[in-house]
Amino acid sequence: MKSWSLLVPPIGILLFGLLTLYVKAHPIVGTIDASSLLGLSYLPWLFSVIVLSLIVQAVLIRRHLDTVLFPIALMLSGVGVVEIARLNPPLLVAQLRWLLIAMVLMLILIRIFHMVKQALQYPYILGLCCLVVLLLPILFGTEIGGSRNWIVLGPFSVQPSEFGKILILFFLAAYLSEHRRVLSLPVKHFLFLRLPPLRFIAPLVSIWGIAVLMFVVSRDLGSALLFFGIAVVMTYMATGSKSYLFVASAFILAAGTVSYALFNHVRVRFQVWLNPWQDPNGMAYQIVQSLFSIGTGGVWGTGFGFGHPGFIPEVHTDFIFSAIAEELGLVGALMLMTCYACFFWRGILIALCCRMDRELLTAAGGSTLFLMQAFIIISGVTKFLPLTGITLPFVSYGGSSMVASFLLLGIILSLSRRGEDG
Amino acid sequence: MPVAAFFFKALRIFLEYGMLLWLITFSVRLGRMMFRDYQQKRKENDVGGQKNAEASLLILSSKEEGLLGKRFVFSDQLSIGRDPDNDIVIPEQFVSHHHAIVYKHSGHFVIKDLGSRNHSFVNDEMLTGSVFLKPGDVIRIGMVTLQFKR
Repeated sequence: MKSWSLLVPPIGILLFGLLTLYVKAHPIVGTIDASSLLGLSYLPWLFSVIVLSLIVQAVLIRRHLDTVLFPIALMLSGVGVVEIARLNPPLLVAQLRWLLIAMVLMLILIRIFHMVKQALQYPYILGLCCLVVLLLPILFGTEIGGSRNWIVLGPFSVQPSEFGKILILFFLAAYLSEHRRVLSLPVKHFLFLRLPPLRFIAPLVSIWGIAVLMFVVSRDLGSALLFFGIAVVMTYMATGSKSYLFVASAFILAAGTVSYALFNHVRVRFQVWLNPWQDPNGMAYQIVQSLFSIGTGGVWGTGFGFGHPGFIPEVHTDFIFSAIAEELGLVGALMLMTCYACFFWRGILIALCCRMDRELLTAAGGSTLFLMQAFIIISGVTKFLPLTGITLPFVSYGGSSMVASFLLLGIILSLSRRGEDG
Repeated sequence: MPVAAFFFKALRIFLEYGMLLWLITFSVRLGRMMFRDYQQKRKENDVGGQKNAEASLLILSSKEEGLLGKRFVFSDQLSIGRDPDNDIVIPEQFVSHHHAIVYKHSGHFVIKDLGSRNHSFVNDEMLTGSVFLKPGDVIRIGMVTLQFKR
Protein backbone atom coordinates (compact mmCIF):
# COMPACT_ATOMS: atom_id res chain seq x y z
CA MET A 1 0.00 0.00 0.00
CA LYS A 2 1.14 3.47 -0.84
CA SER A 3 0.77 4.94 2.63
CA TRP A 4 3.04 2.25 4.10
CA SER A 5 5.70 2.29 1.42
CA LEU A 6 6.65 5.86 2.29
CA LEU A 7 7.76 4.65 5.71
CA VAL A 8 10.43 2.34 4.27
CA PRO A 9 13.07 4.96 3.34
CA PRO A 10 13.15 6.66 6.77
CA ILE A 11 13.61 3.31 8.50
CA GLY A 12 16.14 2.33 5.86
CA ILE A 13 18.14 5.49 6.57
CA LEU A 14 18.12 4.78 10.29
CA LEU A 15 19.32 1.19 9.85
CA PHE A 16 21.88 1.92 7.13
CA GLY A 17 23.35 4.88 8.96
CA LEU A 18 23.69 3.15 12.31
CA LEU A 19 25.07 0.01 10.66
CA THR A 20 27.66 2.10 8.82
CA LEU A 21 28.75 3.59 12.11
CA TYR A 22 28.93 0.14 13.68
CA VAL A 23 30.99 -1.26 10.85
CA LYS A 24 33.25 1.77 10.99
CA ALA A 25 33.76 1.42 14.72
CA HIS A 26 34.63 -2.32 14.49
CA PRO A 27 36.72 -2.66 11.37
CA ILE A 28 38.03 -6.18 12.02
CA VAL A 29 35.77 -8.99 10.92
CA GLY A 30 34.93 -11.84 13.21
CA THR A 31 35.70 -10.17 16.51
CA ILE A 32 32.32 -9.93 18.09
CA ASP A 33 33.06 -9.76 21.77
CA ALA A 34 31.27 -8.25 24.72
CA SER A 35 32.89 -4.82 24.42
CA SER A 36 31.82 -4.33 20.83
CA LEU A 37 28.26 -5.32 21.71
CA LEU A 38 28.11 -2.67 24.41
CA GLY A 39 28.13 -0.15 21.62
CA LEU A 40 24.73 -1.47 20.62
CA SER A 41 22.91 -0.47 23.80
CA TYR A 42 20.73 1.86 21.72
CA LEU A 43 19.11 -1.09 19.92
CA PRO A 44 16.02 -1.35 22.17
CA TRP A 45 15.40 2.37 21.69
CA LEU A 46 15.84 2.09 17.94
CA PHE A 47 13.49 -0.87 17.82
CA SER A 48 10.81 0.93 19.83
CA VAL A 49 11.10 4.01 17.61
CA ILE A 50 10.52 1.86 14.53
CA VAL A 51 7.59 0.03 16.10
CA LEU A 52 6.05 3.25 17.35
CA SER A 53 6.35 4.88 13.95
CA LEU A 54 4.47 1.94 12.43
CA ILE A 55 1.80 2.32 15.11
CA VAL A 56 1.52 6.05 14.41
CA GLN A 57 1.06 5.41 10.71
CA ALA A 58 -1.59 2.78 11.47
CA VAL A 59 -3.45 5.25 13.69
CA LEU A 60 -3.26 7.91 10.99
CA ILE A 61 -4.65 5.52 8.39
CA ARG A 62 -7.44 4.38 10.67
CA ARG A 63 -8.45 7.92 11.53
CA HIS A 64 -8.36 8.96 7.85
CA LEU A 65 -5.73 11.61 8.50
CA ASP A 66 -2.98 12.65 6.15
CA THR A 67 -0.38 9.90 5.67
CA VAL A 68 2.36 11.83 3.88
CA LEU A 69 3.42 14.37 6.48
CA PHE A 70 4.43 11.85 9.12
CA PRO A 71 6.86 9.91 6.88
CA ILE A 72 8.48 13.22 5.90
CA ALA A 73 8.91 14.14 9.56
CA LEU A 74 10.29 10.68 10.29
CA MET A 75 12.68 10.97 7.37
CA LEU A 76 14.02 14.26 8.68
CA SER A 77 14.31 12.89 12.22
CA GLY A 78 15.99 9.78 10.85
CA VAL A 79 18.65 11.82 9.09
CA GLY A 80 19.04 13.86 12.26
CA VAL A 81 19.39 10.81 14.53
CA VAL A 82 21.97 9.20 12.26
CA GLU A 83 23.98 12.40 11.98
CA ILE A 84 23.85 12.94 15.75
CA ALA A 85 25.03 9.36 16.30
CA ARG A 86 27.99 10.14 14.10
CA LEU A 87 28.78 13.57 15.57
CA ASN A 88 28.14 12.98 19.22
CA PRO A 89 27.51 9.29 20.04
CA PRO A 90 26.56 9.81 23.72
CA LEU A 91 23.59 11.88 22.63
CA LEU A 92 22.16 9.15 20.38
CA VAL A 93 20.12 7.42 23.06
CA ALA A 94 18.86 10.76 24.35
CA GLN A 95 17.75 11.80 20.88
CA LEU A 96 16.01 8.46 20.25
CA ARG A 97 14.29 8.81 23.59
CA TRP A 98 13.11 12.32 22.75
CA LEU A 99 11.87 11.09 19.38
CA LEU A 100 9.90 8.39 21.17
CA ILE A 101 8.43 10.84 23.71
CA ALA A 102 7.56 13.29 20.96
CA MET A 103 5.71 10.65 18.95
CA VAL A 104 3.76 9.49 21.99
CA LEU A 105 2.79 13.07 22.81
CA MET A 106 1.74 13.57 19.21
CA LEU A 107 -0.54 10.54 19.38
CA ILE A 108 -2.10 11.86 22.60
CA LEU A 109 -2.57 15.28 21.01
CA ILE A 110 -4.30 13.76 17.98
CA ARG A 111 -6.57 11.85 20.33
CA ILE A 112 -7.62 14.87 22.41
CA PHE A 113 -7.51 17.38 19.60
CA HIS A 114 -11.25 18.05 19.71
CA MET A 115 -10.69 19.51 23.18
CA VAL A 116 -7.56 21.40 22.24
CA LYS A 117 -9.49 22.92 19.36
CA GLN A 118 -11.83 24.65 21.80
CA ALA A 119 -8.93 26.85 22.83
CA LEU A 120 -9.10 28.50 19.44
CA GLN A 121 -12.24 30.29 20.59
CA TYR A 122 -10.46 32.30 23.26
CA PRO A 123 -7.89 34.46 21.48
CA TYR A 124 -7.13 36.80 24.34
CA ILE A 125 -6.46 34.04 26.87
CA LEU A 126 -4.16 32.42 24.32
CA GLY A 127 -2.46 35.75 23.79
CA LEU A 128 -1.89 36.15 27.52
CA CYS A 129 -0.49 32.61 27.86
CA CYS A 130 1.77 33.35 24.96
CA LEU A 131 3.05 36.54 26.58
CA VAL A 132 3.69 34.71 29.86
CA VAL A 133 5.56 31.86 28.16
CA LEU A 134 7.68 34.26 26.16
CA LEU A 135 8.42 36.50 29.12
CA LEU A 136 9.39 33.59 31.38
CA PRO A 137 12.91 33.15 30.01
CA ILE A 138 13.47 36.90 29.99
CA LEU A 139 12.69 37.01 33.71
CA PHE A 140 13.90 33.66 35.03
CA GLY A 141 16.00 32.41 32.14
CA THR A 142 19.37 30.72 32.30
CA GLU A 143 21.98 31.39 29.71
CA ILE A 144 23.10 28.35 27.74
CA GLY A 145 25.21 28.76 24.65
CA GLY A 146 25.03 32.52 24.43
CA SER A 147 21.30 33.08 24.51
CA ARG A 148 19.18 33.40 27.56
CA ASN A 149 16.21 31.35 26.47
CA TRP A 150 16.34 28.35 28.75
CA ILE A 151 14.47 27.51 31.91
CA VAL A 152 16.02 24.89 34.13
CA LEU A 153 13.54 22.70 35.99
CA GLY A 154 15.52 20.22 38.03
CA PRO A 155 17.01 17.69 35.63
CA PHE A 156 15.32 19.16 32.58
CA SER A 157 16.09 22.34 30.81
CA VAL A 158 13.27 23.58 28.66
CA GLN A 159 13.29 26.11 25.89
CA PRO A 160 9.95 27.88 26.33
CA SER A 161 10.15 29.70 23.02
CA GLU A 162 9.80 26.35 21.23
CA PHE A 163 6.41 25.84 22.83
CA GLY A 164 5.61 29.52 22.63
CA LYS A 165 5.52 29.19 18.88
CA ILE A 166 2.59 26.78 19.08
CA LEU A 167 0.76 29.19 21.37
CA ILE A 168 1.49 32.13 19.12
CA LEU A 169 0.20 30.16 16.15
CA PHE A 170 -3.06 29.43 17.98
CA PHE A 171 -3.37 33.01 19.15
CA LEU A 172 -2.81 34.45 15.69
CA ALA A 173 -5.23 32.01 14.09
CA ALA A 174 -7.94 32.75 16.66
CA TYR A 175 -7.42 36.49 16.69
CA LEU A 176 -7.09 36.97 12.95
CA SER A 177 -10.07 34.81 12.03
CA GLU A 178 -12.22 36.78 14.46
CA HIS A 179 -11.12 40.18 13.30
CA ARG A 180 -10.33 39.52 9.69
CA ARG A 181 -13.21 41.69 8.44
CA VAL A 182 -12.12 44.67 10.49
CA LEU A 183 -8.49 44.19 9.65
CA SER A 184 -9.09 44.02 5.94
CA LEU A 185 -11.44 47.01 5.94
CA PRO A 186 -9.09 49.95 5.58
CA VAL A 187 -10.20 53.07 7.37
CA LYS A 188 -7.21 55.31 7.81
CA HIS A 189 -4.96 56.31 4.98
CA PHE A 190 -1.38 57.01 5.81
CA LEU A 191 0.81 57.86 2.83
CA PHE A 192 0.09 54.97 0.45
CA LEU A 193 -0.81 52.59 3.28
CA ARG A 194 -4.33 51.74 4.27
CA LEU A 195 -4.66 50.75 7.90
CA PRO A 196 -7.51 49.85 10.21
CA PRO A 197 -7.95 51.67 13.53
CA LEU A 198 -5.03 51.32 15.87
CA ARG A 199 -6.79 49.27 18.54
CA PHE A 200 -7.31 46.38 16.12
CA ILE A 201 -3.68 46.09 15.20
CA ALA A 202 -2.46 46.66 18.76
CA PRO A 203 -2.12 42.89 19.51
CA LEU A 204 -0.06 42.43 16.36
CA VAL A 205 2.17 45.35 17.22
CA SER A 206 2.65 43.94 20.71
CA ILE A 207 3.79 40.61 19.24
CA TRP A 208 6.30 42.43 17.10
CA GLY A 209 7.42 44.31 20.19
CA ILE A 210 7.86 41.07 22.16
CA ALA A 211 9.91 39.63 19.32
CA VAL A 212 12.25 42.60 19.40
CA LEU A 213 12.46 42.39 23.20
CA MET A 214 13.39 38.70 22.97
CA PHE A 215 16.05 39.59 20.49
CA VAL A 216 17.56 42.34 22.57
CA VAL A 217 17.23 40.99 26.11
CA SER A 218 17.63 37.25 25.73
CA ARG A 219 19.75 37.47 22.56
CA ASP A 220 17.54 34.92 20.89
CA LEU A 221 17.65 36.33 17.39
CA GLY A 222 16.37 33.17 15.71
CA SER A 223 13.15 32.85 17.66
CA ALA A 224 12.60 36.59 17.45
CA LEU A 225 12.82 36.46 13.68
CA LEU A 226 10.56 33.42 13.58
CA PHE A 227 7.88 35.00 15.76
CA PHE A 228 7.98 38.25 13.88
CA GLY A 229 7.87 36.49 10.54
CA ILE A 230 4.98 34.23 11.43
CA ALA A 231 2.95 37.19 12.73
CA VAL A 232 3.50 39.06 9.49
CA VAL A 233 2.85 36.09 7.21
CA MET A 234 -0.31 35.04 9.02
CA THR A 235 -1.67 38.58 9.00
CA TYR A 236 -1.07 38.67 5.29
CA MET A 237 -2.72 35.27 4.79
CA ALA A 238 -5.77 36.36 6.76
CA THR A 239 -6.29 39.81 5.29
CA GLY A 240 -4.55 39.78 1.94
CA SER A 241 -3.50 43.37 2.53
CA LYS A 242 0.04 44.29 1.60
CA SER A 243 0.02 47.37 3.82
CA TYR A 244 0.88 45.16 6.80
CA LEU A 245 3.97 43.89 5.03
CA PHE A 246 5.18 47.43 4.49
CA VAL A 247 4.43 48.48 8.06
CA ALA A 248 6.15 45.35 9.40
CA SER A 249 9.26 45.78 7.30
CA ALA A 250 9.50 49.43 8.34
CA PHE A 251 9.12 48.31 11.94
CA ILE A 252 11.83 45.65 11.73
CA LEU A 253 14.17 48.00 9.90
CA ALA A 254 13.74 50.66 12.58
CA ALA A 255 14.16 48.13 15.39
CA GLY A 256 17.21 46.65 13.67
CA THR A 257 18.86 50.03 13.20
CA VAL A 258 18.24 51.07 16.79
CA SER A 259 19.56 47.82 18.24
CA TYR A 260 22.55 47.93 15.90
CA ALA A 261 23.42 51.33 17.26
CA LEU A 262 22.82 50.45 20.90
CA PHE A 263 23.95 46.86 21.48
CA ASN A 264 27.30 45.36 20.91
CA HIS A 265 26.23 41.75 20.35
CA VAL A 266 23.98 42.81 17.49
CA ARG A 267 26.81 44.70 15.86
CA VAL A 268 29.09 41.65 16.19
CA ARG A 269 26.52 39.37 14.57
CA PHE A 270 26.04 41.74 11.72
CA GLN A 271 29.73 42.31 11.05
CA VAL A 272 30.44 38.58 11.17
CA TRP A 273 27.79 38.13 8.52
CA LEU A 274 29.07 40.89 6.25
CA ASN A 275 32.69 39.88 6.42
CA PRO A 276 33.62 36.74 8.35
CA TRP A 277 37.20 36.86 7.05
CA GLN A 278 38.07 39.77 9.30
CA ASP A 279 38.27 37.50 12.29
CA PRO A 280 38.11 33.88 11.10
CA ASN A 281 39.57 32.44 14.29
CA GLY A 282 37.61 34.48 16.76
CA MET A 283 34.06 35.76 16.42
CA ALA A 284 33.49 34.24 12.99
CA TYR A 285 35.05 30.86 13.76
CA GLN A 286 31.75 29.00 13.74
CA ILE A 287 30.44 30.36 10.47
CA VAL A 288 33.81 30.07 8.73
CA GLN A 289 34.15 26.42 9.75
CA SER A 290 30.60 25.81 8.60
CA LEU A 291 31.36 27.28 5.18
CA PHE A 292 34.53 25.20 4.89
CA SER A 293 32.65 22.09 5.79
CA ILE A 294 29.88 22.71 3.25
CA GLY A 295 32.53 23.42 0.64
CA THR A 296 34.43 20.22 1.41
CA GLY A 297 31.30 18.19 0.82
CA GLY A 298 31.06 19.02 -2.85
CA VAL A 299 28.29 17.44 -4.91
CA TRP A 300 28.28 13.87 -3.61
CA GLY A 301 29.72 14.51 -0.16
CA THR A 302 32.69 13.01 1.61
CA GLY A 303 30.74 9.91 2.51
CA PHE A 304 28.89 9.34 5.72
CA GLY A 305 31.33 9.26 8.63
CA PHE A 306 34.28 10.49 6.57
CA GLY A 307 33.93 14.24 6.88
CA HIS A 308 35.36 16.42 9.60
CA PRO A 309 32.36 18.41 10.78
CA GLY A 310 33.65 18.16 14.35
CA PHE A 311 35.47 21.45 13.92
CA ILE A 312 32.25 23.41 14.04
CA PRO A 313 31.16 24.31 17.55
CA GLU A 314 27.56 23.30 18.38
CA VAL A 315 27.45 21.14 15.28
CA HIS A 316 24.81 18.75 16.58
CA THR A 317 22.18 21.45 17.17
CA ASP A 318 22.26 24.60 15.12
CA PHE A 319 24.90 23.57 12.61
CA ILE A 320 23.68 20.07 11.84
CA PHE A 321 22.85 21.17 8.33
CA SER A 322 26.51 21.92 7.58
CA ALA A 323 27.48 18.46 8.81
CA ILE A 324 24.84 16.84 6.60
CA ALA A 325 25.90 18.99 3.65
CA GLU A 326 29.51 17.89 4.17
CA GLU A 327 28.89 14.18 4.49
CA LEU A 328 25.96 13.70 2.12
CA GLY A 329 26.97 16.50 -0.21
CA LEU A 330 24.91 18.93 -2.23
CA VAL A 331 22.60 16.08 -3.23
CA GLY A 332 21.77 15.18 0.35
CA ALA A 333 21.31 18.80 1.34
CA LEU A 334 19.01 19.45 -1.60
CA MET A 335 16.96 16.35 -0.81
CA LEU A 336 16.62 17.54 2.77
CA MET A 337 15.34 20.89 1.56
CA THR A 338 13.01 19.11 -0.85
CA CYS A 339 11.55 17.31 2.16
CA TYR A 340 10.82 20.64 3.85
CA ALA A 341 9.33 22.04 0.67
CA CYS A 342 7.06 19.01 0.21
CA PHE A 343 6.08 19.27 3.86
CA PHE A 344 5.04 22.87 3.32
CA TRP A 345 3.18 22.05 0.11
CA ARG A 346 1.28 19.23 1.76
CA GLY A 347 0.48 21.43 4.76
CA ILE A 348 -0.95 24.15 2.52
CA LEU A 349 -3.03 21.54 0.66
CA ILE A 350 -4.43 20.43 4.02
CA ALA A 351 -5.13 24.03 4.96
CA LEU A 352 -7.04 24.61 1.74
CA CYS A 353 -9.33 21.69 2.58
CA CYS A 354 -10.21 23.12 6.01
CA ARG A 355 -13.59 24.69 6.27
CA MET A 356 -13.34 27.05 9.22
CA ASP A 357 -11.26 30.20 8.94
CA ARG A 358 -9.36 29.53 12.13
CA GLU A 359 -8.52 25.96 11.24
CA LEU A 360 -7.36 27.05 7.83
CA LEU A 361 -5.13 29.69 9.37
CA THR A 362 -3.76 27.25 11.95
CA ALA A 363 -2.81 24.64 9.36
CA ALA A 364 -1.34 27.14 6.92
CA GLY A 365 0.50 28.99 9.67
CA GLY A 366 1.88 25.76 11.12
CA SER A 367 3.32 24.62 7.83
CA THR A 368 4.73 28.09 7.22
CA LEU A 369 6.33 27.94 10.65
CA PHE A 370 8.29 24.79 9.75
CA LEU A 371 9.41 26.14 6.41
CA MET A 372 10.37 29.49 7.89
CA GLN A 373 12.33 27.91 10.73
CA ALA A 374 14.21 25.66 8.31
CA PHE A 375 14.85 28.63 6.04
CA ILE A 376 16.15 30.84 8.83
CA ILE A 377 18.68 28.32 10.11
CA ILE A 378 19.75 26.99 6.70
CA SER A 379 20.29 30.51 5.42
CA GLY A 380 22.12 31.25 8.66
CA VAL A 381 24.65 28.43 8.36
CA THR A 382 25.22 29.12 4.66
CA LYS A 383 25.73 32.84 5.43
CA PHE A 384 22.80 33.94 3.33
CA LEU A 385 21.35 35.80 6.31
CA PRO A 386 23.00 36.78 9.60
CA LEU A 387 23.44 33.68 11.71
CA THR A 388 20.65 33.06 14.18
CA GLY A 389 20.65 30.33 16.77
CA ILE A 390 17.60 28.20 16.13
CA THR A 391 17.10 24.49 15.65
CA LEU A 392 16.49 22.80 12.33
CA PRO A 393 13.01 21.33 12.93
CA PHE A 394 13.03 17.51 13.40
CA VAL A 395 16.72 17.22 12.55
CA SER A 396 18.63 19.07 15.27
CA TYR A 397 19.41 17.57 18.62
CA GLY A 398 17.12 18.87 21.36
CA GLY A 399 14.19 17.65 23.39
CA SER A 400 12.13 20.85 23.42
CA SER A 401 12.53 21.32 19.72
CA MET A 402 11.66 17.70 18.90
CA VAL A 403 8.58 17.64 21.12
CA ALA A 404 7.34 21.03 19.93
CA SER A 405 7.83 20.08 16.28
CA PHE A 406 5.93 16.83 16.66
CA LEU A 407 3.13 18.57 18.57
CA LEU A 408 2.83 21.09 15.76
CA LEU A 409 2.83 18.23 13.28
CA GLY A 410 0.07 16.58 15.33
CA ILE A 411 -2.01 19.75 15.08
CA ILE A 412 -1.63 19.93 11.31
CA LEU A 413 -2.40 16.21 11.01
CA SER A 414 -5.53 16.49 13.14
CA LEU A 415 -6.80 19.27 10.90
CA SER A 416 -6.33 17.07 7.84
CA ARG A 417 -9.30 14.83 8.60
CA ARG A 418 -11.19 14.27 5.41
CA GLY A 419 -14.92 14.91 5.47
CA GLU A 420 -17.58 12.24 5.15
CA ASP A 421 -17.43 12.43 1.37
CA GLY A 422 -13.75 11.43 1.39
CA MET B 1 42.13 -12.28 5.13
CA PRO B 2 42.07 -9.88 2.20
CA VAL B 3 38.84 -11.24 0.73
CA ALA B 4 36.92 -10.61 3.91
CA ALA B 5 38.44 -7.18 4.27
CA PHE B 6 37.49 -6.32 0.70
CA PHE B 7 34.00 -7.59 1.27
CA PHE B 8 33.81 -5.57 4.44
CA LYS B 9 34.90 -2.39 2.75
CA ALA B 10 32.41 -2.95 -0.07
CA LEU B 11 29.67 -3.39 2.49
CA ARG B 12 30.64 -0.14 4.16
CA ILE B 13 30.64 1.80 0.90
CA PHE B 14 27.33 0.26 -0.04
CA LEU B 15 25.85 1.31 3.29
CA GLU B 16 27.22 4.86 3.06
CA TYR B 17 25.88 5.55 -0.37
CA GLY B 18 22.80 3.49 0.39
CA MET B 19 21.82 6.23 2.84
CA LEU B 20 22.05 8.83 0.15
CA LEU B 21 20.08 6.56 -2.16
CA TRP B 22 17.33 6.16 0.41
CA LEU B 23 17.15 9.93 0.71
CA ILE B 24 16.92 10.37 -3.05
CA THR B 25 14.35 7.58 -3.41
CA PHE B 26 12.24 9.18 -0.74
CA SER B 27 12.28 12.63 -2.28
CA VAL B 28 11.59 11.37 -5.78
CA ARG B 29 8.76 9.16 -4.65
CA LEU B 30 7.33 11.95 -2.53
CA GLY B 31 7.48 14.44 -5.34
CA ARG B 32 5.90 12.05 -7.83
CA MET B 33 3.14 11.06 -5.46
CA MET B 34 2.24 14.61 -4.54
CA PHE B 35 2.33 15.77 -8.13
CA ARG B 36 0.02 12.93 -9.13
CA ASP B 37 -2.28 13.83 -6.26
CA TYR B 38 -2.35 17.40 -7.39
CA GLN B 39 -3.11 16.54 -11.01
CA GLN B 40 -5.85 14.18 -9.99
CA LYS B 41 -7.43 16.80 -7.78
CA ARG B 42 -7.22 19.38 -10.54
CA LYS B 43 -8.90 17.02 -12.96
CA GLU B 44 -11.65 16.36 -10.45
CA ASN B 45 -12.11 20.08 -9.90
CA ASP B 46 -12.32 20.73 -13.64
CA VAL B 47 -14.98 18.09 -14.11
CA GLY B 48 -16.79 19.22 -10.99
CA GLY B 49 -16.66 22.85 -12.03
CA GLN B 50 -18.38 22.21 -15.34
CA LYS B 51 -20.98 19.81 -14.11
CA ASN B 52 -21.92 21.47 -10.87
CA ALA B 53 -22.24 25.14 -11.61
CA GLU B 54 -25.60 24.92 -9.85
CA ALA B 55 -26.45 24.00 -6.33
CA SER B 56 -29.71 23.32 -4.64
CA LEU B 57 -31.27 23.42 -1.21
CA LEU B 58 -33.80 20.73 -0.40
CA ILE B 59 -36.20 21.32 2.46
CA LEU B 60 -36.11 18.20 4.62
CA SER B 61 -38.52 19.16 7.35
CA SER B 62 -40.72 22.12 7.99
CA LYS B 63 -44.00 22.96 9.69
CA GLU B 64 -45.12 24.89 6.64
CA GLU B 65 -46.87 22.58 4.17
CA GLY B 66 -45.89 24.82 1.29
CA LEU B 67 -42.19 24.45 1.95
CA LEU B 68 -41.83 20.76 2.75
CA GLY B 69 -39.97 18.76 0.12
CA LYS B 70 -39.40 21.78 -2.09
CA ARG B 71 -36.09 22.13 -3.90
CA PHE B 72 -34.52 25.53 -4.56
CA VAL B 73 -31.99 25.51 -7.36
CA PHE B 74 -29.60 28.43 -7.65
CA SER B 75 -26.29 29.19 -9.27
CA ASP B 76 -25.18 32.48 -7.78
CA GLN B 77 -26.72 33.32 -4.45
CA LEU B 78 -29.77 32.62 -2.39
CA SER B 79 -31.14 34.42 0.64
CA ILE B 80 -33.14 32.94 3.48
CA GLY B 81 -35.34 34.85 5.92
CA ARG B 82 -38.82 35.87 7.06
CA ASP B 83 -39.02 38.94 4.79
CA PRO B 84 -40.98 38.31 1.56
CA ASP B 85 -38.10 39.62 -0.59
CA ASN B 86 -35.97 36.57 0.25
CA ASP B 87 -35.51 33.63 -2.11
CA ILE B 88 -36.63 31.19 0.56
CA VAL B 89 -39.27 32.75 2.78
CA ILE B 90 -39.79 31.00 6.11
CA PRO B 91 -42.73 32.60 7.88
CA GLU B 92 -41.70 31.70 11.41
CA GLN B 93 -41.12 33.94 14.39
CA PHE B 94 -37.76 32.31 15.13
CA VAL B 95 -36.41 33.39 11.78
CA SER B 96 -34.99 36.86 11.28
CA HIS B 97 -36.08 39.07 8.40
CA HIS B 98 -32.80 38.48 6.61
CA HIS B 99 -31.47 35.40 8.31
CA ALA B 100 -28.74 33.88 6.20
CA ILE B 101 -27.33 33.93 2.70
CA VAL B 102 -25.69 31.25 0.57
CA TYR B 103 -23.33 32.55 -2.11
CA LYS B 104 -20.71 31.29 -4.49
CA HIS B 105 -17.11 32.08 -3.75
CA SER B 106 -14.40 30.90 -6.16
CA GLY B 107 -16.22 27.74 -7.16
CA HIS B 108 -17.44 26.82 -3.71
CA PHE B 109 -20.62 27.73 -1.92
CA VAL B 110 -20.48 29.60 1.34
CA ILE B 111 -23.22 30.09 3.89
CA LYS B 112 -23.13 33.24 5.95
CA ASP B 113 -25.26 34.13 8.91
CA LEU B 114 -26.50 37.71 8.61
CA GLY B 115 -26.47 38.35 12.35
CA SER B 116 -29.72 36.50 13.00
CA ARG B 117 -31.15 36.49 16.48
CA ASN B 118 -31.68 32.75 16.79
CA HIS B 119 -28.62 31.67 14.79
CA SER B 120 -28.22 29.19 11.97
CA PHE B 121 -26.82 25.70 12.41
CA VAL B 122 -24.77 23.69 9.95
CA ASN B 123 -24.60 19.98 10.84
CA ASP B 124 -25.83 20.95 14.32
CA GLU B 125 -22.95 23.29 14.86
CA MET B 126 -23.73 26.94 15.43
CA LEU B 127 -22.68 29.07 12.52
CA THR B 128 -20.41 31.93 13.48
CA GLY B 129 -19.53 34.07 10.52
CA SER B 130 -19.40 32.06 7.33
CA VAL B 131 -18.47 28.51 6.41
CA PHE B 132 -17.95 26.54 3.21
CA LEU B 133 -20.74 24.12 2.39
CA LYS B 134 -20.10 20.59 1.26
CA PRO B 135 -22.63 18.42 -0.55
CA GLY B 136 -24.91 16.77 1.96
CA ASP B 137 -24.56 19.38 4.69
CA VAL B 138 -27.69 19.90 6.74
CA ILE B 139 -28.60 23.47 7.60
CA ARG B 140 -31.12 24.30 10.31
CA ILE B 141 -32.78 27.68 10.45
CA GLY B 142 -35.61 28.13 12.94
CA MET B 143 -37.70 24.96 12.74
CA VAL B 144 -36.75 24.27 9.13
CA THR B 145 -33.97 21.93 8.05
CA LEU B 146 -32.49 22.17 4.61
CA GLN B 147 -29.98 19.99 2.83
CA PHE B 148 -27.33 21.42 0.56
CA LYS B 149 -26.74 19.52 -2.69
CA ARG B 150 -24.60 20.04 -5.74
